[in-house]
Amino acid sequence: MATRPENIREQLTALRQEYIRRLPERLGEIEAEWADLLREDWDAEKLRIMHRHAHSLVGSGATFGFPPVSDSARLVEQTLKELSEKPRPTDHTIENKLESLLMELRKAVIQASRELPPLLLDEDTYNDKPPSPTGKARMVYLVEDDENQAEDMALQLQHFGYEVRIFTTLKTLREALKATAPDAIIMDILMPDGDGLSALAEISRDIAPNVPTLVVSILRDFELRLRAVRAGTKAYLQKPVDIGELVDKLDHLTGVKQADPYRVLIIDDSSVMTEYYALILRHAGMLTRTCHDATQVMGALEDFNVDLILTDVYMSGCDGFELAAVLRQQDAYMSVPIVFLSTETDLDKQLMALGTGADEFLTKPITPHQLVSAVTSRAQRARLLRELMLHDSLTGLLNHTTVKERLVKELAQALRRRVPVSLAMIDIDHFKSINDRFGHLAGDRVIKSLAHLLQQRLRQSDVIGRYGGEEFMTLLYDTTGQQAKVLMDKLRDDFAELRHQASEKLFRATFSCGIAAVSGKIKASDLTDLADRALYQAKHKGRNQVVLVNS
Amino acid sequence: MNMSKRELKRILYVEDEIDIQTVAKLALETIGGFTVEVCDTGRKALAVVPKFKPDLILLDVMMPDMDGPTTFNALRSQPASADIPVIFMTAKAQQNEITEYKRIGAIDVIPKPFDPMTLAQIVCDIWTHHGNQT
Repeated sequence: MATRPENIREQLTALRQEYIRRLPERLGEIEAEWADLLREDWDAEKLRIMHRHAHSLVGSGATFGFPPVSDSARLVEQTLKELSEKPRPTDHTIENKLESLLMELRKAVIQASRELPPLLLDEDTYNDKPPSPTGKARMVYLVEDDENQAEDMALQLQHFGYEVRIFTTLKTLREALKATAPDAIIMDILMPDGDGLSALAEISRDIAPNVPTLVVSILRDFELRLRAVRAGTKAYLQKPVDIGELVDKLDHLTGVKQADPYRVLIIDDSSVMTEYYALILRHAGMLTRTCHDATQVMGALEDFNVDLILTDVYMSGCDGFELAAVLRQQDAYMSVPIVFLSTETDLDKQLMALGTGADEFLTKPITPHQLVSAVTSRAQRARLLRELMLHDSLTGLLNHTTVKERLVKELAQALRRRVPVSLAMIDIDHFKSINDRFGHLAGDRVIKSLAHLLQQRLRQSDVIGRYGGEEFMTLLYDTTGQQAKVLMDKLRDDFAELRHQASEKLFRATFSCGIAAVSGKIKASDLTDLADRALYQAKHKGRNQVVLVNS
Repeated sequence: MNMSKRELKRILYVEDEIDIQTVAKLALETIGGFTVEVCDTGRKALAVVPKFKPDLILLDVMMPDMDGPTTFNALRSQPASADIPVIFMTAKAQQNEITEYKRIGAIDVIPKPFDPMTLAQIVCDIWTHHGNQT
């Protein structure tokens, strides 16, 4: 017997995970076929195809160790067989039975998916690495033999702050890699001068082991995806490439501080459906919350910072249209996109939905891919708009008003969860004299570099805002005063090390910091005053230092 | 023909489900050290056999188009594959079914799902046992 058992176990585990990952899609296929059968003409050929798909889940479910998937798929298979043996029955008994069997299958798939480790979620930790030179673009090597496609992708990536170098052969890529390593490699694996995946395997083994690699391909077969995983690639994207998805992956892999995952609230009477949609969206890296009763939606929205609401149309208690109207009457939810999901194909009804404030109408059944891309594009646009409203244009940090609002919310949440928080006020020392001596442009650069440093070093869960001209506020969640002091002192040291440029001259700047630590109930304004007073003390004691007070 | 004199090297696996193909191929190649070819239909199997010349064929029972027993009969009727031993793979391994497959000429039946870690061993055992019998 040839190979070590650990090795094959690893490979089997990889296969199994890939299988689980694709399960929702396969289920979606079956459900779409069923909906199609019910809607269109009853067609023996369609029944046969659906039967085959169900059958394939029977076998594969059992092989990969998911007996509930296999068993429920077998019942679906048997019922389909029954249906295919005679003309479409006039009563709906068997059809209803099949519906409920599909529901069981869906549950089994959801259950199976729980075994999957979470995908691509950032570990929320402080980043102790020194910042890269401020403002430097990240370099991506794009390996693609179709020059038009390559140019197009390069152009789009540049909008997201990536510098792109295009290679049309593997040979030129290898040479370039020996000279400089990029931050990431994107490769179309069908290359004229050799097998892309073997090249990637070799690159990640011998030439540039620390450079993350991403594969784009028109091919979708499993074998290739598996080979890609074995070659050490971090992502496999289907062509045509969804640029948003690609950028998200790149941002993640190249260590860019990523925006929070999208937060989606899903409302549907049926808990199986909400779970199913939640599962699909979570696998795409989003955060979800579900609600089975539209009248409870206000509670579900609380402290969730929702980016998008996905709701069914027909629900008991309150239908989707009414729900949209209710939400639109509240300032806080006026701009949150609302997407309707329904089996409704009546165009008039759809138009009516759009009239009441829905942003999009998706028709069920929907494939996981369609759902993810519809939600992503809506959420992306809504975020962008909000970004413009809520953020400071120079630094991209939260603006004064927003950071104050967030402070109130975060304090309430911290109190509920009984975690300590620390509020730090940071002020650049002698900023006026920096402006006077080196000019406002240089001053702006100092502000930006401090903003950049804070963003890189603090966690995603921390709130960072530009409070005033050269004043910053950060709220450190689940952090004691002592921890905050150590962290801020380190940041202060590192900031003082940075060299800023003003025409011919290089200079350094420092900051002072006041921290107020809190572990009980306190008003946001009182906490801000405390931190302000600590900051004043730090300034008074000679600047370039951190002072901690406890509330 | 005395099978025990012949070494088991080449296996053809006929199975329509691609995931199972992948697992079986992995199990038989990496653990068993066999050379494995897979086909997703009976029709393709008939075409592949003369070129691949397998020592043994593993045949899924439930396949669209040509099912396992139909494929088996077709294999038996073409000279290139008439003498190659066949093992049926089935999820519904009931005794009467097993008896029936053996009656039409299968050397054995392996129930599905199989355990990838032991599949190669099971195949080897069947092969040896069959060789000793004939």
